[in-house]
Amino acid sequence: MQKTLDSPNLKKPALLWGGLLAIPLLAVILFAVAQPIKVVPRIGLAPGFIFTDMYGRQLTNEDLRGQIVIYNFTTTSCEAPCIDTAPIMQALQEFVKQLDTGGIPVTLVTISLDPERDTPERLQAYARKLNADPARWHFVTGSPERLKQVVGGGFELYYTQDEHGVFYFAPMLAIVDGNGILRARYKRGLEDVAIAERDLMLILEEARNSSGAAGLVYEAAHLFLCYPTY
Amino acid sequence: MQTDAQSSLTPQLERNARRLRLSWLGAMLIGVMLIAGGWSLWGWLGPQPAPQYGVPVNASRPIADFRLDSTLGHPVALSDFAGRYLVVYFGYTTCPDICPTTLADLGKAEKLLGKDAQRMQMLFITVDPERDSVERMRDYLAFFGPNFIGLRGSLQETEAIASQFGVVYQKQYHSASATDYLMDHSAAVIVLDPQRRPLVLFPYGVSAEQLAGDLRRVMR
Repeated sequence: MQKTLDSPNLKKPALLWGGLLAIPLLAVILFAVAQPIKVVPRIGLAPGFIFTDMYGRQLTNEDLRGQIVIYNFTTTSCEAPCIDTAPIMQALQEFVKQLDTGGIPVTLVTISLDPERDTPERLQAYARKLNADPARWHFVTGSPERLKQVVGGGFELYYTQDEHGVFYFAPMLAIVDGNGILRARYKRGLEDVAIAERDLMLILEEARNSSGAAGLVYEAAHLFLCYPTY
Repeated sequence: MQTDAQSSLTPQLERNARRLRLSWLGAMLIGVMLIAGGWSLWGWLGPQPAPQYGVPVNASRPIADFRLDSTLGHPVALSDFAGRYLVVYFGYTTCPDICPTTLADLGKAEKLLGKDAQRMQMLFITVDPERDSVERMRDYLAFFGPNFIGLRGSLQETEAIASQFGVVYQKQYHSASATDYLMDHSAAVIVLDPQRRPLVLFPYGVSAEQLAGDLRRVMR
């Protein structure tokens, strides 16, 4: 008899408080484990630059604000053993052409590490060879000092040039979002195309949902490190 | 009329009711302590809250340290402000519009923050070191608040440092005179956390109240 009087009433507050605490905790754990939304990490601020494009015009990182930009770093004379990333950029150009970006521009930029040989004319010829769409794909270069600062210091791609003028560098691509934040770097060559395409879609999705309640959910995805696997 | 069974049950019921009240009180106390503890732990160890008006960056890569001449009268490095949030703005003293507006908003935001402002340091880095002397910057910054520190580097240092912040600038000449120019420059305010990692970007046009609100939100 005593047991029936005691037990149910005494358990109620504990159950109530437990439930109140458990619901948000479970929701957080579920979000962190299930990761219903994936986001691409924010690495750092992308470097500022002023370069010259293949028409001799200036191109700055501020001109590209609001656009998602895919960068590669090469020279127009990149031949084996130099690993050319141009085929990856061509594949990404085709991918972007077919993609519904929801009005968010996606741009490609090739930065030449060899300003001495890669004149605007040579960059134009290179762009034609790659069937680059000039409205979507820029080819730029700058002074050796500025290139070292931007490519080496900012994008962290280290390169050297020997006494014959040959450049040595690892293949690399980078994606910068519309806020000028470096989001991804790929250093594995052609196998990175599918990964870059997936990340591009994720960045676009995040940009489309950057305001209101959806924006908060995407921020939560960053807080809980809901990153795709590589 | 009470039966024997009822009379023996009454004190028992009272005891149970007292125990029930105490258990409610205990559970509430534990609940409040758990929530308060969890809240503090989240604030201490959890990720930074997102800003409302600025662009969240929360970068993993810190800004590389640098040391420049300052309006304090001696060179200072970013690492000298260890433990403080840094609010960094690139501009120049003869800037006609964007710089004074932004600096006025930053100065007002600092006032609005009150004691919280002690946890941050406003830094103004000139993009025009050829015309902006340290003394000139000191006089200029005094208009906007007592706690701004102006930094000045060489042309090469300034370009490299600005690039790290994603900032670019260039001269726009108005005449043949070598000193008659404006500087076209990026206008964002960049907030670094105490580990020098970019935390928030404020585009041009965010008000002092919005700046103060977001700074209070992200500083902890």
